[in-house]
Amino acid sequence: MKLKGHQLLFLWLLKGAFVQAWVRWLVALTMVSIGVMLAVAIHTVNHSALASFGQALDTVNGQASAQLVAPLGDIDDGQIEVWDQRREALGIRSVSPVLVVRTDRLTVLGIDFFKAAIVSPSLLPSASNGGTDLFNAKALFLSGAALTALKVRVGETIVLQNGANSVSLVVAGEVPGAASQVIGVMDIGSAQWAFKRLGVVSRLDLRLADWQTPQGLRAALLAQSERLEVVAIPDRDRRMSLLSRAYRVNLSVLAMVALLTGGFLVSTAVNLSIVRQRSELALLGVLGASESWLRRFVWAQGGLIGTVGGLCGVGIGLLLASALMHWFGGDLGGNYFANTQPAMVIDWPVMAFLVLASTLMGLGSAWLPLMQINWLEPMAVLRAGQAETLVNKAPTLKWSLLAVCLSIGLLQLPAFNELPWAAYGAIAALLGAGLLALPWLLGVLLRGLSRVLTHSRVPAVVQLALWRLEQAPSQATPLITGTVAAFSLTVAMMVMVSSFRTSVSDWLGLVLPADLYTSSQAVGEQPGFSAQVQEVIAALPQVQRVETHRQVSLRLSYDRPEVVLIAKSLNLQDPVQSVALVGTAKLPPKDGQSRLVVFGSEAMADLYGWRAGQEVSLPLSTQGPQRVWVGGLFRDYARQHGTVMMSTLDYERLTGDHSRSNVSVWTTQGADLGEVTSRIQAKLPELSHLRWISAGDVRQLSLKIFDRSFAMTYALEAAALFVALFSVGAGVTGQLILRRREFGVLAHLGMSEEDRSRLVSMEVGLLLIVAVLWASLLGGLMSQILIHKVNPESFHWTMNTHFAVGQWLMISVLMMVIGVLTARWAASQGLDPRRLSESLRADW
Amino acid sequence: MTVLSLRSVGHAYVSDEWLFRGLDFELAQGERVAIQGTSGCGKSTLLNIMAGLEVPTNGEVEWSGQPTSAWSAKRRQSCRQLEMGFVFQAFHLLPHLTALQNVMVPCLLGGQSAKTCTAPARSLLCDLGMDKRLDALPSSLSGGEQQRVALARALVHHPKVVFADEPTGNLDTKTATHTLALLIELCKASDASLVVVTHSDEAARSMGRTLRLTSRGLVG
Repeated sequence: MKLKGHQLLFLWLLKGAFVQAWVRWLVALTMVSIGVMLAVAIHTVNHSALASFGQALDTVNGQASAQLVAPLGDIDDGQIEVWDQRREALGIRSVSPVLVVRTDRLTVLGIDFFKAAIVSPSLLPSASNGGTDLFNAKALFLSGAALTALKVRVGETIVLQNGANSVSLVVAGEVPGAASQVIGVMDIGSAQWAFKRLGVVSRLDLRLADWQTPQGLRAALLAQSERLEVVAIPDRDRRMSLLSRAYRVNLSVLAMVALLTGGFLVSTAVNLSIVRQRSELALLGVLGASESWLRRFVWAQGGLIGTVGGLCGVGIGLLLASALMHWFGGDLGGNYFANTQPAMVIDWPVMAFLVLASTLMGLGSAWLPLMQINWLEPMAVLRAGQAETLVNKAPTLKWSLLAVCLSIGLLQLPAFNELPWAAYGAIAALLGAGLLALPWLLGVLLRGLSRVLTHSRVPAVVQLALWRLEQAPSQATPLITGTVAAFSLTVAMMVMVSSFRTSVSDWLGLVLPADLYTSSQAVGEQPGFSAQVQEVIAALPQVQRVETHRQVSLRLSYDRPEVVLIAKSLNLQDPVQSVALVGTAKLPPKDGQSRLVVFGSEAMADLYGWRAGQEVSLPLSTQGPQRVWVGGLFRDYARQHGTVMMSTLDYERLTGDHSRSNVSVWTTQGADLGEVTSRIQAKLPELSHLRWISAGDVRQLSLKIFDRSFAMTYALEAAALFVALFSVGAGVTGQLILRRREFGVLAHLGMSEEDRSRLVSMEVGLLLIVAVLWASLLGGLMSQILIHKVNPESFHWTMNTHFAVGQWLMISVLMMVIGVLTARWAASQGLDPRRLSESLRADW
Repeated sequence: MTVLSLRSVGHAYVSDEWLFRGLDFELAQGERVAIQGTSGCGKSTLLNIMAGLEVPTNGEVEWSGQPTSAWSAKRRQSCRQLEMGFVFQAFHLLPHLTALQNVMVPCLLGGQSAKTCTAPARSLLCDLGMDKRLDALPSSLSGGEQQRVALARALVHHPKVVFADEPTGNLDTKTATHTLALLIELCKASDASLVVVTHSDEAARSMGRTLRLTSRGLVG
């Protein structure tokens, strides 16, 4: 490609700018890359996990047009005949019952082969032996992936564990239509018998008539007050996406914060380049380069760092995603995709968007340096002693106040599409307001300080530092802008995480009153165990008290994740004894009417509009929706999609389910928990497959999971502090270049090298004190938005603010000490006496 | 033929505090003029006004007989690219370009290709005795060498006028004399006019005409 003359010159100069400051460019580029890398890795892992989940569900669902599911528990298989009779009127071509059994090694689908041939033919096994094996009571057909994963061959026997049941089956053939997913298929009757699920099915798969749609069927069933719900593929995809969406979006926002802090580094790097290049730019202006050409040159520097950083970030991010998926599967700490090993699926449009965002961020970061160039008087820059010509008028307080108003306005808006976009906007506006107010704040503070010290006897260095800062607040502002931005984000994240951790820790104290726990839920959707275990365990030595409860999934909306229904013994006279209530309980009036009382988690209030003291409907009974009284709302950090708590007696009366899924054991003082566990396992072999864990271990494990979930936040805090320090170092270097002549004069007037260094330290120290305090105030305010808006709108739980004063003091002191040391180091580089003499020689 | 004329030009940074006013001046093709004056009298400002870098408070500047007051920024910029050359006391070479690349800058900005402007730049530098230093960066050049590169950069694109603001101020007497002689010679060779602002009487004497800037204008 043949370049025109000015294009070639453009490239020469760009290369020169890089050569001159390659370390700064590389640091800025690295920060941008880290931001993009995090975003790419987070998105790719989540996207792959979702794609894999979707694929798995597609396989398990066969090719059904829609499904009928019960809000709670299984469907009576007597219903199949009823639906066969109703199907023509409802526009259903065929109904195929499916029993889903999740075992320890794979999911087994029990199907009616004749009906599945019409509704979901991909689930049909290849029939060997003339099809006689199909109805063999022990015959299980495995997908190709299952054969590989379980390392078995056709003809071999495998043992599957489902709850307390061990089931031995023979691998009778393959399921060719479901090659890539680990599933098994067997005759539905045999499955009901083998897994002790006689008389029930999990769902009814439907093939609809050509004229019918899932929406049409849903409307028709709603009109008939049908208890079963229609679930179509888009509903299922939305439910699956909602499961982890808030967590994914929060991680992505964290990545964007990393990108933003990277942006401050690019801005600092470009700004410093411009400081160094200002006489070159002025010369080119005198020689006839147009203002737009020069502007393009400055844009190009920011854009280049942004684009290259973006491209590197995508490359490294994909590698990181691949490594994360190799080591941790599809889960990023939120436990939404635990135990999945998805194949990597790259979302190229999003990758392109991230490179574009990074480029735009780079271009945006060149904006501030561009604002500081006085293009109209290039010759003025070529004369000596013109440091101030680089700085235009600083923004006035009105812009800051406008940003504050914008932030307050955004805080009034509700969540959009169930995500706190407005709250994120409010945080950005508040940060902008804080940065725009910096020149005004510095002016006011430094003028005040100078006035106070006018009549005091202070060392000359202190006086000079104050005079200088007071006279040139617009020059001091860029020095600490990056510091204030990065430090305020650090403080905001620190306060939010410490508040969350303290709240979780307090909550664990409330919800873990017993000494030992176990749950059948840990192994998936397992059937419960007998309620008799309570009496058996209570009779064991060293056991003081035993409680059991039942935990099941309850579907309240066809396109939302299920809520968790917990049936446990409740103290309805004083609910605080058994539920971690937020606010006060509102029990039903004693008006002689019998009402069923339930308690909802905070998510029930956010997602389903529950309020304490109101009556709502719950699909608990086979006879139809049941009116219940919401006695209060409670905090639940374990389940973000909603939890309903009711008494065991009410639950058993309504559902007929007398089984239990969880056991809590209180032991006598000084009891050996290991010994108690052994005794329970010896006495109740049906519970031996369950893991018993002490309250202390649950607490430790929970906080470990919490810290793992926030590992990214901690890493980001460290990165933000690095940005703050880098911007101090780079800012001081830039200032020293501009002020070399000033220091040259001071050196000639007899100021010692040590005093010059002290002068810089004094100025930087004063500025850092203002920066740290201002950033702490901003960060504190931002943390309140995170705590009271972002968290409740994302995860539907609240928390109490906890200022980690010790941590704050530590990072503040660290910031100031390292900042001053960085400034002294930069000063020692920039205030070399030989360079100062040269700077004065150039004066004319 | 007149290349540059100033008609009743006056300039004030603060209203009613005139740096100079009622200033008339004409520069003929190939003419060499020295401008002297006390510090702060506005010599550099006058040079900026002549070069179109500043607009006078009143009066008119004509370039080749055309009034420049109505010119757009783009027209001024184009005029500087093609018809003017500049020499500075502090040389102002671009630090990351070689001597040859520095000299090529005006031609490249003027729209010529690198291929077209390499030969004249190289030839000019060789004429100035810099043939061994073509690929050297400014930081490795002596003050005299840097000023020779600056002279070549000012003349490589055959400007009509070269403006020099204290071109020898940073050089020792011997090098200064040699550099000024070179500048005059190069201007003669390309028939370019030369306007030099200087405090040096010796430098002024080597020019065709010497003018003193006072608050009443240029005095011969």
